[in-house]
Parts: sequence; structure tokens; C-alpha cells
Amino acid sequence: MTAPLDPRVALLLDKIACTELVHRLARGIDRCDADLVRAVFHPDATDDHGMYQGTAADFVPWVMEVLAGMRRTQHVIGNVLIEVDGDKAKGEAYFIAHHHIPGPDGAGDNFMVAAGRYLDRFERRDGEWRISHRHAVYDWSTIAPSTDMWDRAAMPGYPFGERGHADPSYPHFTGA
Amino acid sequence: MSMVRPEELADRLAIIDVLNRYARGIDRCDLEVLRSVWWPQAKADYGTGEIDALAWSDGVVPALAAMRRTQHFLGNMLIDIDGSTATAETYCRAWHEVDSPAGPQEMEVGGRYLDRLERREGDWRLLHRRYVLDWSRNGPSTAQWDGPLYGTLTRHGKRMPDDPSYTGD
Repeated sequence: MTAPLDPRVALLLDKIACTELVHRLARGIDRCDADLVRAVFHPDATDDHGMYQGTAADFVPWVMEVLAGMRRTQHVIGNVLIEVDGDKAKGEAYFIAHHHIPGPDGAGDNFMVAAGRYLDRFERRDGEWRISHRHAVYDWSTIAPSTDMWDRAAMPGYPFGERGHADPSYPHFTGA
Repeated sequence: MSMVRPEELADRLAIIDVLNRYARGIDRCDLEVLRSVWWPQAKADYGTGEIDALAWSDGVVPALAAMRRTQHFLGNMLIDIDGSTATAETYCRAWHEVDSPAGPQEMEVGGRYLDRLERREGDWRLLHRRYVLDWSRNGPSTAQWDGPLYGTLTRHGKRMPDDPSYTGD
């Protein structure tokens, strides 16, 4: 039996674990990696994105289809407040989500920014924290024609972000 | 990406400090702070190949100083610690205002830093940094510094040594 942790250290570890779930979920979404997204939720977790309300299990294919209609996204997480109460926690995470999306009917691409907060509920089960409920709240948004200047096809070898395992972060984390 | 172990806590916080210090060095054009994030052998690759990170730092500060202002806003950090080495991914939304013949332009770049760090004698620093580009937004600057609202917010960010974080103003 190891000595019990200083409660201040234990609280810090719980807050980091919950914050990391928020960051891992953003990574799963931006890389369109259904396995990564699934892994942050408890099996019976639920999600309320406004336009989607239901189980987290069904949220995954729903969001992957939404993402497939976009060229790329980046969900930047800012302020994260976590309140821990035993094996449960509540979080508020600010986000600024950037979406590069094709315009309607072959028009030029648009760049849409949506900002808001993820109101999360976390639970620790068998020593592992995961999200049990996510509620996305939207605060503001902007949309304008894309002014992205990179001709990705003409710049081979440049380190552009990709969806899925083509992204350089995968070999980065596996040490390949 | 595993759960955080208690003994990793101090390492994790030290690594976050290094990542944040890079952004501070860049935005304040503070070469000493920027150089302090790298080990002497560190390499950086921003897309044009691997280069010596300290030499890159020496060159980038005057280039940044030639811009009107920058802000490197760090977000999500995923940090894997394995003994005295660590692997990290950090989201960054980098905002630049630069002069051009057509007037000031805003360039905003969303990207990620893929880092390898090492701890030596208790000190964490970057050994290798790769920058990944996700999106960009470019156009004439809409920065506004006067008027009924902005005119009252008079304490503006500056570069070293004039920034309020140095002067205490």
C-alpha cells in the first residue's frame, strides 16, 4: 500500500486528467479519428451539441460525417475550469473552433470561426477519468471567404496538418 | 497518452513553462528568453528543413521585430513524459500584423508544435521542434486603437524592454 497522496496533489492530478480529456477530444475531432473521440467518453456518456443530442456513441459517427463535409478544422482550447467533487467533476472549457469549408455550389471556400464553451461532466470509474456528458454552448461566430494562401498541392514536403494517420503527430507520438 | 502519474507533476508543469516561455520570447522579441527554451544541440524544422534552433532564434528575433506586433496564443497541450524525455503537441493560433505597401496586413496562422523535450540536471528544454500548418487567414488589418472603447484601453503590448511586463507600468 503506497502512502496516500497529499490532497492538493491529488486534486491537481484530477484537474490535469480532466483537462487532458478535453485536449484529447479536440485532437480526435481535428484528426477525424473516431477511435480517439470514442476513447474519451464513458460507454454510457451523452452529448448535447444543440444540433445533435444523444449518446456519445452515436455522436461519433454523426460528427465524423459533419467533419467529412469540411476541409479542415482546429479546435483551440483556452481557459479550462475544473471543479472536482470526489469521483465526479465539472468543467468549463473555452474553445475557438476554426473550420475551413467548401463554399456552396462550387463557390470559393469559406472560413468559419465558432467560439463557445464545453460544459463537461467527468466521472472517475475504476481509477480512470472520462467524460460522461458534454454540452457545447456557442458564444459567437464569424464567417468570411477563405483567405488561406497555401497551395498545398504545390508545396509537397511542407508540414501541413492532415486528417487521420497521415498527420505528422501520429509518428511523433509513437516515436516512429 | 497515458494518465498522469503523481511523480510527473513537477515535470509536466516545468514543460508547460518551457512551451509558454517560447511564445513569450517570440512575442516580446526577447532573445534571451527564446534561447533559454532550447538545448544547445536543439533542432527546429518549420517546414524548410531541420536547422539549428539557437541560430534560428538569433535570426527570427529581428524578423519579428520588423513586424508591427505578434501574439502566439497557445491552447491545447498533450504531453507524454517518459523518464527524462517527453513528447508534446501544442496548438497555436499565431497572429501577426505586418506592414505592406498596401497598408498594414493581418496574418493569422493556426498550427501545432510537435516537440521532443529532454530533462538534464532537473532542467527541461526543447531538443526538437517541428511546426505543422493547419490554416491561415490573411487580409488588411482591422486593428483599431482609438474611439470610445479602444481609446480607453491605453496599455498596449510592446516588445522588450518597453512591454508593461518589463516596465511594471
